[in-house]
Amino acid sequence: MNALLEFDRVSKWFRDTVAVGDVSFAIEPGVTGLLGHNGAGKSTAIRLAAGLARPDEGAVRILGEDPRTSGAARASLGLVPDGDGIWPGLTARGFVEACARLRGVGGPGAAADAALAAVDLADVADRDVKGFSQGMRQRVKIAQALVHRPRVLILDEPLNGLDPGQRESVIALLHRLGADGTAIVFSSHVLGEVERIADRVLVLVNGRLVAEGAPPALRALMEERPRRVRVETDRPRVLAAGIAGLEGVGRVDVDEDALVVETSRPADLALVLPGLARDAGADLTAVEPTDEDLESVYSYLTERARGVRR
Amino acid sequence: MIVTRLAIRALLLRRRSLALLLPVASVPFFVALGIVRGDVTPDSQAIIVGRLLVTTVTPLVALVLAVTAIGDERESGTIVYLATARLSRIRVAAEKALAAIACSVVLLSPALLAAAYFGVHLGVGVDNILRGVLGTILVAAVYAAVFVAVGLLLKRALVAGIVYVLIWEGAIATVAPSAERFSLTAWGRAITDGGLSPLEDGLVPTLSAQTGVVALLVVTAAAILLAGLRLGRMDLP
Amino acid sequence: MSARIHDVRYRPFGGELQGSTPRAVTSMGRWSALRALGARRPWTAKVVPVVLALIALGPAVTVLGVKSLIGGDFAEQLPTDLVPYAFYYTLIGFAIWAYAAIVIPETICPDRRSRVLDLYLSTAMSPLEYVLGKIVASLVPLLAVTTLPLAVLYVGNVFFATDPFGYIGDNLREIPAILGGGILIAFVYTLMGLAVASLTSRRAFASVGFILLLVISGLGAGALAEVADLGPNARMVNLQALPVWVAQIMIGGEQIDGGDGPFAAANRPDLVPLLIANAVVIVVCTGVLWLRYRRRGT
Repeated sequence: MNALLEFDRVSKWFRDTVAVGDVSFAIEPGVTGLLGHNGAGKSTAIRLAAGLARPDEGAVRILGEDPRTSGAARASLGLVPDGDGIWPGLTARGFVEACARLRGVGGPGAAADAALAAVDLADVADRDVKGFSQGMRQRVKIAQALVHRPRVLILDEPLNGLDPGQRESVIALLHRLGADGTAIVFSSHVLGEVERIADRVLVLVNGRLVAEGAPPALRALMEERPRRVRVETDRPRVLAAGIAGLEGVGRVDVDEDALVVETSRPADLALVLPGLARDAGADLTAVEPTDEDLESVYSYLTERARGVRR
Repeated sequence: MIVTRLAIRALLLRRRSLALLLPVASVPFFVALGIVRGDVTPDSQAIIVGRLLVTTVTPLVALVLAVTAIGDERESGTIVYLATARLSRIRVAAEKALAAIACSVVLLSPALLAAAYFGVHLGVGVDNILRGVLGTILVAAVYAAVFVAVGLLLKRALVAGIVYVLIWEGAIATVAPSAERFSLTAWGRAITDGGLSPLEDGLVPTLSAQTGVVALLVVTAAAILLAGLRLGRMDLP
Repeated sequence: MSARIHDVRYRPFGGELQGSTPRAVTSMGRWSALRALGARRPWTAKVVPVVLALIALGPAVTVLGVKSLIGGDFAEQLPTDLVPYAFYYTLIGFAIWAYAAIVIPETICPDRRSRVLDLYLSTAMSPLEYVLGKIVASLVPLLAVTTLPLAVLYVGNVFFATDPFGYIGDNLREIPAILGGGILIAFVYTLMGLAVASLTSRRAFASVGFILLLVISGLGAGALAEVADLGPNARMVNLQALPVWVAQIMIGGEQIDGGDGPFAAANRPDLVPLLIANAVVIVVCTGVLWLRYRRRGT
């Protein structure tokens, strides 16, 4: 069976800059987050996926076909671009209906109404888009991408410039669509967003795909990564002396009432810590990992891929 | 024809397009002046219809509209909606060219009407007037198509277009006898020549009107094809 | 371990301000002109002005070259006997327009487009300083195509004259005429170009607008004179020729032929109405610039 969206060893470069280098992945139904810092190649990857840019090497396929040449592949694709451009002088309904016609939807008027209702814009459908807020524009652009009921929905930075309320409604919409079986790919450089929305994450660094998977699974894959564990205690110095001798422990930073341990074997630390505390006569008030969220996984990957920690 | 409809709408809503009515209005202005003053010579006709309308205003209006038709979509990013449509890229290019042609004819219509009225006033006969109008529209069409393609090929298509219209079409092709064989407006003048614009020396083409029509149609079609191929191959923002 | 946040936000200039109108104008003029000529831009942006300037210089250099290579009958003639000053403008008219159409919009359109205009006007300089700076930025490069070629011809005349110093003494009045004529053409074209370019933020449309203004007014002048039989004074709407005619009269007197075409002597109106027409153009363009750049009340 063909994947809904597939990158097969795709590379794209601009002069001597590699925008996307040898990237392969396949997208299934559900929400996939494309994560990367600015300039990591997210937008290029999205343009490649939508057939706007041509890969210099490799192939992009939507349902097995090249979106640049296959009308059917494009008809299975909905794209929410980053830019805010909308043809002048159109109402929300006019714009979405025009997009429906462009994609050969039968009954474009009804389809437009349905798409606008799906993004909660039914009551402003007849207003000129020019007067819309950023959030409303974003939703018009999403409605446009949904109007032909695509199986693949690609969104470039869909939460940029939205206020918290608008963010919530777009996130809820993406969840709903993902649950209904649409394959959704969205790009973001904000980790919190990706962690909240995506079932699966693709991490791009300097145009390379450095990691992929569900956020917790990604973490599990990186057991060798040194973790930082914060131990709150009334006798940090004494405890630090005991911890420093343990296998796997790198550095120990001591504070007034806590110490931060960097270790490649956090599980071992958890096992021996109570015994050490008892021997040292120290009270433990809290033991917590400080870098279990995606943010730290991401910065670890980014730094490693960029060679900072080499 | 949704692409054409959207493009016509966008083009006619632009202030810039309406500014094109200023040069267009110069034609009826001078026609009216000539008729009011009552002293109409073949020379003045040649200047107003041959030089001003066919060789200068029509190419420049079509050029600006064609470059705008593609350029604005690229600038605003709306071109991605066309590129992800089900339509083939050649179809998109053809519809764009059609929109530029239609808008050119609409904006040029005051000048065309004035030129036609000029012809009636001079009693040059209906067939000559029709030939004049058809020739002008074909010149608009070829320019619209060619500069949709050039707009996709060059970054500064507008500047390239002006240089071409002024230096090649306006100067060289009206002076050098064999240059007219490669001049779009000279082919147009081969059609309009005769009743509506008895031409001054430099503007008289040696081609027949039939050759002019065929040449213009062939170049128009080739330009649309080229634009479609280019749009199909290029990367979009 | 002590924490620290480095302040890397936008900060106002902390050094000593040297603000004075002449400084602001020359600084703006200098940098805008360099940028318009392609400084700090890709080579394609540099090539076009250079090529056009070379085209404008071409005939002068060619005449001098031919004269130095070929003796014979030519030996008796000065370079300007072969190409009179007044005719030279006709020869390079297209190059001057194209140069102006490309360089002038480049000095002001990007400021609107990239929205630094408000930044300039709100802090750094007054609208007057801004506009004066842009006039300098457009005018000075234009001198390369209006004054320089004729100056080259003049220098050629001096070198080929049998008595160089005598030639300079006899033809002293040509120097201010060449300079003045070139500056006048550059100044009027600059104001027209800036007025058109001030109406749009897109360079390309400014270029087209400027060229259309010149071409349509030229054709219109011809049509007015022919169609409406209004005589040479009707040609005064010919914006492309207005300053050139004055420059031709300055350099060659009223009798000198400007060659065929738009600048032909037979087509030229009288000097006084010409001066008035030029003044009207200057006033109108200044008015447009004032409307576009005056400080708006908040």
